[in-house]
Amino acid sequence: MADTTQTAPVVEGDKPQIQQAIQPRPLSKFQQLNKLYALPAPLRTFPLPTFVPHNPLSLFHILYVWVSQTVKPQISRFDHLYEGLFSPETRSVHVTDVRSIRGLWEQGFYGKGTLSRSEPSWLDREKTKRGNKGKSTSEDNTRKRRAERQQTKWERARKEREAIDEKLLEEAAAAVQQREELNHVVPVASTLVEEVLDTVEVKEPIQMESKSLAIVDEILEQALERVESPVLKPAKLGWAAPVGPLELLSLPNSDDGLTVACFTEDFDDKYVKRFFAAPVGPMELLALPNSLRSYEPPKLPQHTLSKLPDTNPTDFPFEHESVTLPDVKINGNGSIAPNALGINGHTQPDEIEVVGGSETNEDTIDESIHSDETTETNGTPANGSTLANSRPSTPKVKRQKSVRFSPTVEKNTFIQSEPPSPERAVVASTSVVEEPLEIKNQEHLQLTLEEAFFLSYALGAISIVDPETKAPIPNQDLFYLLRKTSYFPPQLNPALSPDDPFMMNYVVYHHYRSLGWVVRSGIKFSVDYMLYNRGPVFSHAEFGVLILPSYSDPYWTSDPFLEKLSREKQKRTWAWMSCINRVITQVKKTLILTYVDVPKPLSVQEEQDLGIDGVLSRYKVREIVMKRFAANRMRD
Amino acid sequence: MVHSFESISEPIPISLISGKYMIFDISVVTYLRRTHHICGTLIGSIPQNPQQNIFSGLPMELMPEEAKFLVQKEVAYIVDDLAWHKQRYDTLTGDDKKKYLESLRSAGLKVRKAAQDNSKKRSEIALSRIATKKAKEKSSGEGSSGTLADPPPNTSLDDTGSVAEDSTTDSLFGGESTASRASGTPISSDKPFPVTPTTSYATSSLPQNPSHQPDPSVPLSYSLFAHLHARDYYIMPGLRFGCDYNVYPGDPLRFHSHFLATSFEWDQDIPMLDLIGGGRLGTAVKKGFLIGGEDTEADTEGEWGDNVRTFCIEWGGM
Repeated sequence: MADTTQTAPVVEGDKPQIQQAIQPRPLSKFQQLNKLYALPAPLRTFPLPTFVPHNPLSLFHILYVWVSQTVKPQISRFDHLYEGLFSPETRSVHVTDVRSIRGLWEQGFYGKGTLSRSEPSWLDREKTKRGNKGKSTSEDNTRKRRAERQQTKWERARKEREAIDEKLLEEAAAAVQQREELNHVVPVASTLVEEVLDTVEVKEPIQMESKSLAIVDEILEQALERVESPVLKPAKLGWAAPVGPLELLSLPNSDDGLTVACFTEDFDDKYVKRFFAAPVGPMELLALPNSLRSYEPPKLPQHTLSKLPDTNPTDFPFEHESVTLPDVKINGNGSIAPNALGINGHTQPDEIEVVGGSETNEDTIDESIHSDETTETNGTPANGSTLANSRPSTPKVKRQKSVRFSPTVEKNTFIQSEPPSPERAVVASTSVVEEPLEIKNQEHLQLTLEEAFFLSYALGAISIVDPETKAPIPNQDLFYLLRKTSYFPPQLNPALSPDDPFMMNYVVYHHYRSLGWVVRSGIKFSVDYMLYNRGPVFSHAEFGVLILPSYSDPYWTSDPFLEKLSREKQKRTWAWMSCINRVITQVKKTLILTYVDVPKPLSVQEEQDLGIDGVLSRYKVREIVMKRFAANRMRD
Repeated sequence: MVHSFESISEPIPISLISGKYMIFDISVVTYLRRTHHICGTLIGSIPQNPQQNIFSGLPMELMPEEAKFLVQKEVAYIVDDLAWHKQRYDTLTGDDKKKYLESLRSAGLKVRKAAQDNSKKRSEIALSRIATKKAKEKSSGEGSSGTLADPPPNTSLDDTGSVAEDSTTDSLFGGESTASRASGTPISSDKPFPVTPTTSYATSSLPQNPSHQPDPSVPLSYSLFAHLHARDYYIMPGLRFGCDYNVYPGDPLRFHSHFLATSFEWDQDIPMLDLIGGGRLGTAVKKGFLIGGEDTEADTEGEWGDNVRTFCIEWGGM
């Protein structure tokens, strides 16, 4: 209790001071809660100073305080009472000013926020939802925030820029490196192919018509085998069993697909085109290159390109076409194959063309059957030829860039010299403006009738105001007002029975509150009250309280009518009991049956003579803790 | 199972013992369950497993609602067991009494004989097992000396068993066994097993005038019961779920229940807490909390439970 004076300012809500106090060592969450909810009741207490046995002076101090308190007793009530407004419509008491709301909640957990589950926290939630947590929402603050936001955006854009540049550089370097590697391998391969062609000279005179492609293919395959087996060891990797998901998915779907892929058939352009149509089936879509890495559009066309400049400049349009094609429908190498063939058809049967054919062949086989090529080709010489000589690396890089950014993202690309587009900045700033700076608190605290009366009568911490006259209601009047209101519809006659809902509830409420429990409504667990050890923020409720009237007074059995009435009122079924007990045990609480012995009714005059204290003292409360015991389940 | 129902002739007697409606015949229990969707509750402890109360056996107790339903349908009638017992045994004299006692005695003898046969068979089995073991040991001992002679166990079992039987019985049971053999059977014929009949009458000897018993008194929720039963639901008592009835869409052995049904009167004030508790519990056990009541003022005076209206409440998290 010594810290009551310390915590008094906390209640008043002086944030900066707390911050400073906390500075040396930040408090844990539990310590913060302890500090915030230090007062168990909205009362002031005046403890005697501690007695130190070896310091006799402390005794005098105690004596002095005690005497001064007895001579001039201090009032434990606050000078400035909390204020509540009685609301007959909702049959509750409304508390609207912030000080009372916080005070009542933090000192004993009274009431419930109308827009919250229990603690009135609507405003905080709303603020968090809107993103401005700080309480200061002045113009200055806004402007500062806006500037900060602008700055961070610039920063972010710059970083993105840098990342892109870095990537570009990296890619260019990689391209250069690959080209160098290729320059070693490609000559070897081409000589080999030439050799093969010489050996099958018989077929040389056949002109390159589309029909005779199959024969060429045969030759090519042979050549390819020869090329591959001794020299292109890395390419062998491409023939490994398909194990990755992508490879498996890209396997031919049916026999039909297999034959085409393997080129066992004579395949005319039509057939090829049909097979290599735009990818619409799920399989084709899945077989599409997954990322930039696995996508190598320029392989074939560029290969042809690399050679073409030497022979035929008229083929350039094709080059262009085949370059743009992969951008439109990124069909991997499959879609490129027919194009390459088309190119081949137009060119003379030359060494170049043969090389091109061999490429197609290898590619289609590799890609369609074992498409792990996609990942591995980067190292293989076959792919190396794509990046082959003559072409500068920049245009290629540019193309890659256009592939990387999808049309939607394209808007986001930054021009090196410019800051982020002004349009976007404007949009951002307008969104800042739209934010409402001030949120009016729509929430108030709602006290049940029992809570309100306990605060007013037992603690004297609140003054309840009449909604019409705006005058505080004295306790005596309040008592009867609340008793009348507890009926639905409210009763008007002043002769109230001793077992009216308000009396029954209040007796139990007062009983548990005065024993130090935090009592809150238990309607969500289908009981009358829940008992919390310290409060809902510290722990879950331990007990559920059911209020049961007990008409034990001889008056209630004196008359058959009354007897019947009281029996009817006390009647409960086992099914009801079982139901409530199950609900309560399910939420790991214990059920308390609180019996209230109802006294015999008094006349109005008698009650007024007794006063509130006298009326309340006639009630008795008995408690029975109930727990279900199943003999064969609770053996251990 | 079908033929077992043939022996059942409606109306079926329901024994009323100290306010409980009981059925003691297993075939009647299955019959009611199959044909009339009446499940009842088995309340007797199982003799083979008396130290548990999770599984129970005969007799089956019927809810008053179930009894009333069966009576109203004229499927069953109610016999006041106590009265009938007294009436029957007070008037039992002379030859009838003797005959009855004789029948009890013969039943006891039959049981005794069955039990004895059973135990005899069991001991024979045990003995033959011991004999086989011995023979094996013997044969293995022989086998070690002369490996060639190794007879298949099947043939040797019979021979050695029959030989060993005499010797082992003597050694095992000694004088006791000989005594029981010598005089066991005559003694058992003298002393029949005591038999306590589960019912004090044969079903055929029951009074066939079911009219004299009044309808069972049922709680107010009967109309809800009838309403649900008429819609082919199986209904079990709902105490453990805190409701009046536990409503199953089919046989409770095959289905979980769908509803926790609680009956209210038409004009009754329903406490809010009851709705909350029921709704919460129902949702927690994945069932619907069903409330229903009969409109007693409705005009249609049709079948039972026709004027009942039901509502299902579920706990919605918003």
